[in-house]
Amino acid sequence: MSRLRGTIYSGVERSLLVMGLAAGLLTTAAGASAQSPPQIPVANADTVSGNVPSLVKSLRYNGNVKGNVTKVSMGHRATGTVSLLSGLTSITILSSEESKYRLQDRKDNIKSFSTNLVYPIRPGLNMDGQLSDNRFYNRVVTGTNATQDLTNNTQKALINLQFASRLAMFRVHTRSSASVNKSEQTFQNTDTNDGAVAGQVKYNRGSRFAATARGFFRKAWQESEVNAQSFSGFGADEDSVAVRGMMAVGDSSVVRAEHVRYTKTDRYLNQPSGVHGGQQFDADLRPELETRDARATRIEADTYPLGGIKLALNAEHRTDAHYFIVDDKRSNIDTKDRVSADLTYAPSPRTTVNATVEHSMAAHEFPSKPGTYDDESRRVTFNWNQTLTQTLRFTVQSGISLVQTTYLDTDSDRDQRYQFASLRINSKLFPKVNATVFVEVAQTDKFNIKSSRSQNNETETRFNLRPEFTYKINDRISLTQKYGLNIEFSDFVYQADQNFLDRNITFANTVSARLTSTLTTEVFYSYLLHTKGSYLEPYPGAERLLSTNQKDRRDELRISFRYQINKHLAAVGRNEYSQRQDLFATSSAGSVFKNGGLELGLEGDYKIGAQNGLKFAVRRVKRYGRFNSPEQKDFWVMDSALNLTF
Amino acid sequence: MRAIRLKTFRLIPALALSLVMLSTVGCDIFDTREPEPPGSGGTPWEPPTVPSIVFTNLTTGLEDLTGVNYEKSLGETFKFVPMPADVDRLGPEVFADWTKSVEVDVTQRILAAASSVEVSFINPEQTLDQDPFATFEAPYELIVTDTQGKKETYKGRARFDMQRLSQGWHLIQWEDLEGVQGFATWGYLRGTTR
Repeated sequence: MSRLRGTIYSGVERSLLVMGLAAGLLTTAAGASAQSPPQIPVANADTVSGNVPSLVKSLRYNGNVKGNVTKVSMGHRATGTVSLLSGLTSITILSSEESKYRLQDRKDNIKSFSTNLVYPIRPGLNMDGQLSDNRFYNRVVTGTNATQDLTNNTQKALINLQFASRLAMFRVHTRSSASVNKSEQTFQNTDTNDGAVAGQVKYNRGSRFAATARGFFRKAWQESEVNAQSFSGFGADEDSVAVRGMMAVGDSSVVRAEHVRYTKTDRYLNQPSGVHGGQQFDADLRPELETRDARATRIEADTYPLGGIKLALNAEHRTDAHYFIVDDKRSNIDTKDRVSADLTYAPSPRTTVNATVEHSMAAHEFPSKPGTYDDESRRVTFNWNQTLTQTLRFTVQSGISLVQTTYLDTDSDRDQRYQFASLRINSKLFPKVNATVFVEVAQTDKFNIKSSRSQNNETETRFNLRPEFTYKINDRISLTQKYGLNIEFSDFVYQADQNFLDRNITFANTVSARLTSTLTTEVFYSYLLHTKGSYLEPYPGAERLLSTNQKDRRDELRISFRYQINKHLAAVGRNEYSQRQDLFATSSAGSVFKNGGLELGLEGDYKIGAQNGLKFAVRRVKRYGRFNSPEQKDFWVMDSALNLTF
Repeated sequence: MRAIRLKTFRLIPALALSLVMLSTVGCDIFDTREPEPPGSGGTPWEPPTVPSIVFTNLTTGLEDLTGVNYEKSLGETFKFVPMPADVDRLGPEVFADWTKSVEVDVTQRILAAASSVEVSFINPEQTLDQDPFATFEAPYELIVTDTQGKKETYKGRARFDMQRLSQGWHLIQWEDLEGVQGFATWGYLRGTTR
């Protein structure tokens, strides 16, 4: 639960970042605790200016109303910006968003207030502070009328100091921050104080050599209260170091290297888990100690040995050890090594050939429970783009990959091999006709290795042919036709009598027409014939025959229009109809299932001045079809945004 | 003539590279391991010609402790959506990018620690039938017994989105909707197992 810090409200905080405010290091630090690759929570000095942009006094309001078949929501956001003396800038944001779900008895409520001060002390030295109060509430009423509430309210005070300077060929950037957080959650209340410092030094010597070193350290102190019982001594220590370098070798090669290390120790209250991981609701919360040590080292080299040839080499080693001392079943250690080579040959602008070879090995270890496994992956891909004439070009792709998974203590070992080859031809047959033909052959082998699980081992082979034509009859009317033939064979290794074939034939037409300067319309029709059945030899050595046991046809028709009433307002409409017909003689003969719906509405875009405006889309939707609940049969779709600047 | 020769010259390396790549494809480094002939384990796969059969295959794939039918029942685009309360307890990073491969790995680890598993999807109610998509809602119950004989029960209610693909109906999204007082959800078990 305490892990929630800096997570739910990261959206609000990200908004602040977008607005150009100096964001708190602590927010970034929380993001760095995500499971995969260690992120060094240091701002990039390249993007940090020594001066705060001058802002004018303004008050902005954004309101939105959204609705669809799933939920209806309304949001408000007011932003006030005031420039005071000596470059001091204040930005205050008040926002709320309320959502009610239509298909589920659920509602969410998010309210947020924050005020921020940005003070440029002198060029290169800035200070900013933030006070915020965020409230999140979620209620779900279950099918048995039980109510499940989730609350998370946080108040936070944060101060940041950042310094950026250039010293000869060195660029230096440091940031320090401190914050006080108070959090009231469903199961516990917490008070957290933390401080963080980060620094970056970047050295450039022209475009031949560059080196960057970054460091980050954060410490947090936390107290918790659960059921009137207080716990103290919690908190976190986080630090990271990143070193990157780039060097040009000769005139045609560049080598880059990077090493990142991230460590964390976090102590907090946690809900105990049972033998498999389920929560023990009748047990008291108990302290947890979580540690993480993640490292990544990467070396890349790009070289251009001959004209038109580029060779890129990449090697990477990662380890991530994540331990939970009390709830130790969640502990895991991941190690991954990967090497790859990418060769590109482009003898002319018309020809590009590319080949990639990759090999990776990963170990996933679970020290306190079964399931430890290794993955080994190999991949080769090939790509050839060729422009033959101004109206004809093709792309050839092929590849093969093999993933082998081996479990230490279970019978789950499996291999999956995927091979494919495809050809795409693009041609402008006539001035008004574009054509594309796509042909593909692919095969997937899905093999479980151990005898207890190998019963259903199978090989899937797919053939795909998709021609497509677009005929632009004139400036007002265009026609697109797509054909498709897809055949898939499933061959079982040990149960050959289960082999089957699945075949789809598709045909789709789209006609787009601009009938008048204000009226456009589109008609779409598609047809699909699906056949499936066993595909077996009637007797040993004979040619295999398809014995159909499933055959159905689907038709889909969509008609839509858009009528621009004036430059701000448009009427839109759409009618959908789809039908599935079972054509297999011995099944529920000729059964037909129909779905569809009608949407009618308005879309508007009113601008008042450069910054004010209203955009909206409102549509009434009526749908029909089997099993649609009343809420899914009749609803409104809304999406409106009102922006006002005072 | 000269232009044609030049074009031909430029295409030769591309063709040579293509041949090299094709020959690599033929190498035995891409051979799979030799599978063992099937024993008595596993449960026959029931072709999912209608969406409701997916529940049968999910159940048999777990109860026979192999996970084979469970994995086959998941579409390649499978996604798991946890309850907000489970996200709150375990952190959003635990449930991030929950793909089919994550679901299969997590399920294999749950099964690896179990001596028996009982699964119930209780009277799934179909709420959408727009071929090739179908949606069901159902309470579920999962009882896992470990090798020491200890039992744990997980309960909840979930929405199951299915899609008809070339190999029949598959589960493409599992969304936990609500929990049951006094029990952890299956999603919580997923999160702590990842």
